[in-house]
Amino acid sequence: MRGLDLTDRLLPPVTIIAMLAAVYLVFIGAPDDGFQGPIQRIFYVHMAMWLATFTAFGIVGVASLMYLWKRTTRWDHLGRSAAELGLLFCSLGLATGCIWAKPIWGTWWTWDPRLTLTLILWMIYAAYLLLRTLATEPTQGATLAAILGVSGVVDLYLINRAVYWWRGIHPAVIQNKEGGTGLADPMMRAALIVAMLAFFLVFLWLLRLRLRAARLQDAVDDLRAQVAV
Amino acid sequence: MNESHLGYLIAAYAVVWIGVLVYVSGLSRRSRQLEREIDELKHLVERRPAA
Repeated sequence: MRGLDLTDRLLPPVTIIAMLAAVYLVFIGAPDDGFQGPIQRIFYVHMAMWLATFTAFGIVGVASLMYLWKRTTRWDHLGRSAAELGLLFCSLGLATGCIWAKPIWGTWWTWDPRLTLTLILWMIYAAYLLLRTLATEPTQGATLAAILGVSGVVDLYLINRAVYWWRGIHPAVIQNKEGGTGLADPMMRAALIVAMLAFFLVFLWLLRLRLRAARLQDAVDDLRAQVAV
Repeated sequence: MNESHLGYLIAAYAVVWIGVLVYVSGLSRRSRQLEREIDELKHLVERRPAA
């Protein structure tokens, strides 16, 4: 593909190596959880989805603020690309959570504070992308979406605090209410860290590809304008 | 823990990989389309007589 720099060339092999290490640790290296059995291994990918989601929506927040300040397409592209990826990983995080909940809680979904706030987060960024798609005037659509992108960051903070502030049933995997960890075995912690790193690299790789597609779209728009003159 | 619950584990990882692969294939198709369009438009611009 055209326009690939060193980072674009290095990211795929590094990501693949990290992913292979994650697969080994998640399915072979880490032991079964004493209570949940093999189902607990869903946590590794579930947590990895949330790291990518929070990073993506955090980037949307910063890029939205910068767009509202600078009004440059560079920030708009970054915000829109990160929002698209954030929505993908948020959807996958919700899906893996539901799949874990069915055998453990006996239900696919419950209106736990963290789950409810996460569904609201999904809706905020779905609205962000809908605004971008449906806006008849692109600059106005970008401005309204940027305001939404900044406000979504408040929900990110509430989701992070929900298990500590409100009585819910969602477990705290990394740090529980007593300050300890939800993962007792060091191999479990290693599996979680490597899985999170591997999917974080997947996120970075996809973000670069998505930004490249945005630049290609800009080039198409410029050329179309030249042809139309 | 019932062994049949292994299906949930497989389903969770399958959902993630299918989701990522569908997104990647859509993105690469879109990029290829845009690259083709850029080539066509550049060709059109070059063929236009100078003003």
